[in-house]
Amino acid sequence: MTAHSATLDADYGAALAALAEYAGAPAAFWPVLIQTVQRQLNARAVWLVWRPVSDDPAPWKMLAQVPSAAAVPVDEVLSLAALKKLARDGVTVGQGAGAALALAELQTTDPRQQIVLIADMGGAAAAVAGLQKLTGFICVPQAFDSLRKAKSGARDATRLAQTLESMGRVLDANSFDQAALTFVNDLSERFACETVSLSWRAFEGLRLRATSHSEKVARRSEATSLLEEAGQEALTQDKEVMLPATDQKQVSTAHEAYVRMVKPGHILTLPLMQRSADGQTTELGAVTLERQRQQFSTAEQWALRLYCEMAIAPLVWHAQNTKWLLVRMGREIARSIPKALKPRSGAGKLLMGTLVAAVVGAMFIPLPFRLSATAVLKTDASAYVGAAYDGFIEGSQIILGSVVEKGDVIFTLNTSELVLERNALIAELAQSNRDAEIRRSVNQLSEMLVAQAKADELRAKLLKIDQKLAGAAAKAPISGVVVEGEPAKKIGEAVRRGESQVTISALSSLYVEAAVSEKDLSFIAAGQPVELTLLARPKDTFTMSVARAVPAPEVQDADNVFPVRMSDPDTRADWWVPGMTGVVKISAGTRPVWWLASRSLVDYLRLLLWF
Amino acid sequence: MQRRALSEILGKYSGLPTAGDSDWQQGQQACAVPNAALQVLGTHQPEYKRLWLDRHGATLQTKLLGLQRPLARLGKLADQVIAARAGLEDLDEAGLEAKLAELRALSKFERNAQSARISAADVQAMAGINEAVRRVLGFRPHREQIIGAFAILEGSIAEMATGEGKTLTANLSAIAAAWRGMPVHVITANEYLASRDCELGQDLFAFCGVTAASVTGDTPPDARGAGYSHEIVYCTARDMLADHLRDSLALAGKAGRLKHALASARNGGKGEAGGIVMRGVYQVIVDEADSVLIDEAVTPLIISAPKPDDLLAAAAVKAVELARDLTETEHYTVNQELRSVELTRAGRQRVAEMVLDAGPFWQRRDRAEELVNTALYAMYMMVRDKHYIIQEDKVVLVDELTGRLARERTLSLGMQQVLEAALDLEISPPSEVRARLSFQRYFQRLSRIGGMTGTAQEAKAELGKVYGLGIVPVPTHQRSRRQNLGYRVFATNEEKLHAIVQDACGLSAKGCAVLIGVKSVLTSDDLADAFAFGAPDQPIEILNAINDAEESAIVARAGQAGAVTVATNMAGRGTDIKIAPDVRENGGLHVIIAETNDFSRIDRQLIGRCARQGDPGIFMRYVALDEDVVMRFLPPVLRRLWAASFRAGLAPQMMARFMLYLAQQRAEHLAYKQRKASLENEIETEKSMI
Repeated sequence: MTAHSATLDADYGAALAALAEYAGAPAAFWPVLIQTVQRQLNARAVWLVWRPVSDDPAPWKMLAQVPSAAAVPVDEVLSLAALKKLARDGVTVGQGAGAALALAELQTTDPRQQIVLIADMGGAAAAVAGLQKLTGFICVPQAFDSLRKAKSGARDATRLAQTLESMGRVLDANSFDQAALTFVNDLSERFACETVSLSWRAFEGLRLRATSHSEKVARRSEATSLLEEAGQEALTQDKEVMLPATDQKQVSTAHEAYVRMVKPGHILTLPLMQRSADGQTTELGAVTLERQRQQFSTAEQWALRLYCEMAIAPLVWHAQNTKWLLVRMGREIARSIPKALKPRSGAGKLLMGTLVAAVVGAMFIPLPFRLSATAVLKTDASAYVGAAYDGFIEGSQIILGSVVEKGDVIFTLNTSELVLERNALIAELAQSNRDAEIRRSVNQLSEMLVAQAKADELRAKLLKIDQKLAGAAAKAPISGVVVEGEPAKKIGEAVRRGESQVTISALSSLYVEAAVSEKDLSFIAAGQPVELTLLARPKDTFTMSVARAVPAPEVQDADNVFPVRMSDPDTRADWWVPGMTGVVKISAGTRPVWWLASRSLVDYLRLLLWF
Repeated sequence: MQRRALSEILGKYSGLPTAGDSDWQQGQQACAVPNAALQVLGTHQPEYKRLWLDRHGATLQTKLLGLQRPLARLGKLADQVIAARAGLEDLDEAGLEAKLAELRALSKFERNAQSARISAADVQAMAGINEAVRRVLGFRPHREQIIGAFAILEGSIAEMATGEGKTLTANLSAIAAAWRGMPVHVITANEYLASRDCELGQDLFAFCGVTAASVTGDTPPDARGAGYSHEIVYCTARDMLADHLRDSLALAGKAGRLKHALASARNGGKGEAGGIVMRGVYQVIVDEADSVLIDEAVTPLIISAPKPDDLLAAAAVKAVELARDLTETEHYTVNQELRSVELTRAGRQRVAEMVLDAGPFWQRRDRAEELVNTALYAMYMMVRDKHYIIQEDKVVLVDELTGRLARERTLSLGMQQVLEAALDLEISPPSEVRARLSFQRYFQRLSRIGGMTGTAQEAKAELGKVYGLGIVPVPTHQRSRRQNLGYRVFATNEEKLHAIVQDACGLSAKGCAVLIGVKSVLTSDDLADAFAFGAPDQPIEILNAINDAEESAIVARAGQAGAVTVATNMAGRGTDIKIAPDVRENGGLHVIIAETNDFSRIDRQLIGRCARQGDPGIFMRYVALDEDVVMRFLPPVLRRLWAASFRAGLAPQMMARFMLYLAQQRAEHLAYKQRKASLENEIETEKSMI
């Protein structure tokens, strides 16, 4: 008996464990459960009923039953009292369908549902005896569900770990080819494929870049070109292409040709596309998987899609980084362009192109090339007026800016001393003349000659004084304007002979002289039109032309400048005076915009880089 | 560097085998094309904000497209199709089937995602489809229809006169697009047309090896997914956007390709985001494109759930009570032209006084004033039988453009409740917005739009600016026999109605069929009264939103000799009035435009009812100087000028044409500005919600 009980217990335990570890679908679990219960309890019939938990109890629904023909009045059996007992103890006995029943409320992971197991045990004693075993079944659904979820979670974790690992390897690669090879090798391993190959976009169409488990890619073989075509087929349709086909509407001409040639069993091609924020797509490449064993399941297809979606970014990154330096530089430059200047739509690109073309076109528009230089008004004719003898200024009306005519008196010198001297000389002369007469009368010829000579000397002196007196009024030698010296403010001041007291500039001979920088000198030619504006009245401009450049450089503001003399201006204003400064613009023909904009930089670079 | 396998580490701790067993669920595989399934995410991506360059580029492109004349090029392509299809006529059934299969494959393989230009493969395909049409329907599509179909495929709006066979054109382009292997959606003006057009095309679609279905409001939720899985789907813009919004609610947070692929892979490929019905949108063909893309495009579609709010209901009643105590001009002013009501200073004062003892809700002045303003608007701007009707004690809005009842539409911002309170109806609970998007913003997300309409020229600029769509004016197949009798101008509306009654009776007696178009239900009633008074013996039919149930019966009778039908804009788009043979002899259908519409496009739609498919037809316009459109949109100076010249009898035709042109231009411009503002408003609202 003990041995029998022990085997039974072992059998019972094994049955519970087997149920908890049941590997089938959840829907198939319940029939298996009640069959086990029936067997273990030796029950005549077992029912499993179910309803959602709510304040307003829903009617019970049959979840499973054995045998299928047996019937039980569920609502009668599961009275309020029975349910209360079930809630308290988990198991109880009941009556129904003319038999004693063993009841158990099963626990699940979902608290929103209530599941009750009803076993027809025949007699009351058997029912009570059955309760003990039934207790063991209460937690079985929960254990099954938990274990199932744990398995599924672990499987998920494994899958995701594998996916992450594959991505890590692709990211780790040093070059595109290595990344591609890692990727296809991983896919081949994960999905148990004989061959996985990756085609990537090339100058024209796709090019096979990696085949699993082979370092070298067999190019220029027929199979390869068919594989590339197959990739293009999937890309053009933007869909996975699989053979044997499940989608009857797919186009798989290249695939079929490849299958006929290589006989890979099952083949699946996944297109790789890059999608931008605005929905634009760029074709990148395709992955082709070949597997003899079995078809690719839906889950596998989705998993492959996930792999591909994840691999796109690192593959693109590798592909871009294995390009030529110049291409990479171009890409980096393009990347650094502000976002606002990178249109997405065709229309935006059109506008951008138009604007760029307009700017480039504008660079070639010839604009007037005008050189700028400082200018000063100068005059050729100026005269200096000084004192004829040392003396004092006695009178003058002249101040700076006074306009004088030729012969006008500029100032007069004090003459009183000269007049006194002259009077004395006249007296002395009369004395000498008289003396000479007296000597002649007494026939003292020699003394007479002496006196005559003295008289001659005095006459000469007198003449000199007269001349001085005549020069006491300093007169303007030319017509013009007084630009220096103000004798009117120096009345009584001592002046020395020969010192210039007043400078007069002739207005009729004003000319413009510009100080042109050495850099611009080569563009200057005689006859170029010139515009002048003077600081005094910037709103007025005067036109003239270049006469000549004077080869007499001077340094002005740390720049070597050459005086350039202008021709007579077409009009001149009466307010012009020598010494006025202003700006001239010399028109040196026309030059395109780009030349004007880059001239100084280009010249600077030329000088800098010349050796 | 040798990476240590993460799975190894993980396996070590989980106690599970790391290799050997299958990583991903094996088993029976269904027709799974993950990349195609991921297409559904296309329209759910975050909205892409167009750059300055893109926006102005679109304007520039429209201008440039306006310069080019694609008609000649498309005409040449159509000639190529006509030449190519002749070669297919001798093929036997099996031969043609094989040929069509080959053309289908060619179309798929030659598909160019970057370019919308018609390729050689498309020409071949079109020839095949043409032959299919001949075998199935017994006639060959004419050159103009092929041009139209190509225009649609190239992403333009084909402007085709009414009766030119737009439905077949849409079918041709839909099949050609479906052959490229991408989902095709044909958007029709209403649900009836969606199911009708789909039904009519079934034989042709089956012959061409594509499947088509219509998804309308009547399609139950669990059948919608199956409906959308067909290659060609006929639906209304409303259904499509509603499904898009529902999908986006279902997708919430899972709209990324990676997330979606991951979820599906984990689930054994079943796809986790349950409840998604659409399968991505690629080629969209819009029938009545101007109506769908422009007139109705700014109305946001709102998915909402009713959320009872007693406070609002009470407030609505109180607001109406307050508004009734105010007097016009003293307390508020009404501006009919701008359709606005404004409280005056005195009015505000009065409201403030009245709400002093109205409870805490009313103590905020701005809130009280806003509610009273809303009430005033509902009471004086919303006109019964023009903007809404009352059916079964419920307010049902009338779509002014189509003249139809918009049963599912409700007013927003408490306006609905206030209006119901003003009408002493039961106050319906307000709705809680769960998702909203305007048609325009939705259509802007779609990659390829083409369409057709009878009246696109007026909307050319807007179509180009907003959607980058060009217009291809397709010539008519047969010379139009439509006769324009010009304008008859009257001083007042009464005179006009009287004259219409007289003329209609005269024409009816002569055995003509007369269709009188009016703008609103209100005017249709006025006209009915005028008939009852002026010609009690004349039987007339009235087709308006109130008796929309009898629509098809009324339309069927409208072409009979002696019939006089008064119709609102309902009789505009898509209504095919078949005329009896004796009517044809008497000059065909006479269309009388009794009330000028705000937009000339709508007038043209009505005119398009006559002289269809080579029939004769006559239309004339009756204008009164005090008409709604004149009073609202013509500046007073011009109104007086017109009145003076009318009294003097100076060039009445020219003046009427000019003045109505001006008024309609202003109306169109105003509407454009409103649409723009409303769209900006919507985007602002969305921003503030996030």
